[in-house]
Amino acid sequence: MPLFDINVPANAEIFFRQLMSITAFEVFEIGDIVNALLALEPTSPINDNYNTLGFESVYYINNMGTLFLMFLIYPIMMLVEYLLGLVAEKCDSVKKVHLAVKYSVYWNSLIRLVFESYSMIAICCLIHFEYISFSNVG
Amino acid sequence: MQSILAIISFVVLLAFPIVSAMLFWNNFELLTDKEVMLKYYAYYTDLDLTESAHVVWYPVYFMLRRLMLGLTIVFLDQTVIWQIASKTTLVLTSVFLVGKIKPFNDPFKNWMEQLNEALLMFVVYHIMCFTPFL
Repeated sequence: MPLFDINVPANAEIFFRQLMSITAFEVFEIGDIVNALLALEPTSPINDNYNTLGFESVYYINNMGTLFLMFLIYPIMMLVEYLLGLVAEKCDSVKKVHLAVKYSVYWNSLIRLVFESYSMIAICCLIHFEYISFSNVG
Repeated sequence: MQSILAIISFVVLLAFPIVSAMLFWNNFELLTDKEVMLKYYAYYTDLDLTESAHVVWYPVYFMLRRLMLGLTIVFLDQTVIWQIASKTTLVLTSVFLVGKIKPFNDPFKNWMEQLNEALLMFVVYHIMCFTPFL
């Protein structure tokens, strides 16, 4: 709701910024790294409200931040699960760990992550759609 | 690349709630099975599975209302009246749905959901004080 087109008082802005860093799972800023990797020109936010809440760019990955990295962990988790499965066939003590990882990767933790970050992903996608471009690689 | 990724993410966001609800609706009797719960319980945590299979559609509303909020925030950013109107509509719809269906297995959770919506309504009314209208 702070993203509504309203005049937010400065003290409320500071509070929202702190709150948003928790709700968006923002551990560290990846915007500069993404810009450097994909050779992107840095962009300004849509307006001050967006800037306050951490949507400092119009690019999808930049706005997603650490949350995007959390989705990238899944292929690694799948590999770990596969390797644990191979070990569990020969070692009974690893079976419990393998089952716990298996049921977490397929699909409980992924469902929970999508549930909790649904609005964040939706807003990042929609911001990107407003300035969508296929003219460069990044 | 980011544009393609955003499009794929958006399609997944749209499809995920509907496809999963249809799957759970068609296999409703299996939802209390231990094996299924170990895999998919995160989708229907705290939902009341004893009354009706329709309850598996509640998470669809949960997610689509967030999508709706995103749409109004991004594409109606110059018209705060529509943003407030859509938020009010979503809150009222949620109050009606939770009151009518009572989707959660614990009455306290249903009551807390109603309280949550009431507080949201309270905030929405106060947002009007920060619009250019006043």
